[in-house]
Amino acid sequence: MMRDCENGQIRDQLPALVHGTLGAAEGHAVAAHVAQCNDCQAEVTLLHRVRASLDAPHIDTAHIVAILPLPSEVMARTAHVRQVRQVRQVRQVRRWRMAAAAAIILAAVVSLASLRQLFDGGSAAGRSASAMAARRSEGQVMPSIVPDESVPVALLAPALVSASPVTIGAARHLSDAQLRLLLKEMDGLKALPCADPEAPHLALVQTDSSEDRP
Amino acid sequence: MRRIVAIVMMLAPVLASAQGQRSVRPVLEEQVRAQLERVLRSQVGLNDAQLQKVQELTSRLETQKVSLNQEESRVRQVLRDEVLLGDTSRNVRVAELLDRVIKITKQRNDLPEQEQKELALFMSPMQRAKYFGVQELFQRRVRELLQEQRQEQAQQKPPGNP
Repeated sequence: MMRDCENGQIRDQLPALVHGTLGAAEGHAVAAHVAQCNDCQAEVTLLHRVRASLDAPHIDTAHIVAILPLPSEVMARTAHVRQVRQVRQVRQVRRWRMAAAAAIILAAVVSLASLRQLFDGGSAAGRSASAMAARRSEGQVMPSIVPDESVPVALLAPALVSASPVTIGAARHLSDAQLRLLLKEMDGLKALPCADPEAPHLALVQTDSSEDRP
Repeated sequence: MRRIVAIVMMLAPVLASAQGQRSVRPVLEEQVRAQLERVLRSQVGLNDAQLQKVQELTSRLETQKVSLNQEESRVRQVLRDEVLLGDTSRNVRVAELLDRVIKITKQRNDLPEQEQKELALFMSPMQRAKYFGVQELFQRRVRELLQEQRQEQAQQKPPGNP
């Protein structure tokens, strides 16, 4: 077991001796003591071992400095990277703007088409016809909820779009082909009241007058 | 960007054709209106002032007619429900509803008479007769065409699909 040297002054200088930081005179004096003292020799040996174990690895700083880029190169590279990033960001923003614009235009077109279809009224007659057919198919005897003149026909009414005071009323429910046909027939339209009455109401129960009909 | 352009290019012809199909419609309706106006001016002999008055009168009568139709639809619906219910203790109510339907029908049938009275304030009898003739011919033909349209739609409908 190692013991401490009784000469405390020398003992305190042992680390300095190991690190070589003592002056020449002090160094000789301490070294002379260590040569005669077993305890101090053991301690110096121990201190050498500790120092060896704590030695830092060698770093070749000169090589590192040599391979590092110069500050001007670093600045140039950084600026290039920034430019590339900015261009990418601008492109991305443009893409999103274009996509948003396309989506808005598409939505507007679809909305307009839906609104026009809604207000077109072209399918009103179809809906009415299908409702009538549904009622007929029920085969039940009950009053109809649709009045006889469910589709009013007007020749004149406030003109909403056209400059003409004339409106075509229920003719709006006709198909394009039917409207063209009507237009052709109107060339020969005579302002004469009809000689025949409108379709008479048919009696459900046979009467004397109905028996006489051919 | 290319994708967006491709989508827009694909959609453009579809939207353009749909728009084109729809844009024909107002032109057709305008042609019919214009033709009717020509007939009323040339054959009935209506001037601008008379056309204006006829327009105001017809608008008013049309509003009444639509209102009567709506009321009749409501009453008929209630009457229909009562018949479906089949409760004989509600005969009084059913009689009232039936009377209302007949009354509304009568009110609607009175509209032509009211129209003629008011037309007489600014049209000669001959003009009224001619206007009546144009109105009648046009209405009858439109009704016939609508009837044909309904029949075609009924035929196109697949069986068993109400």
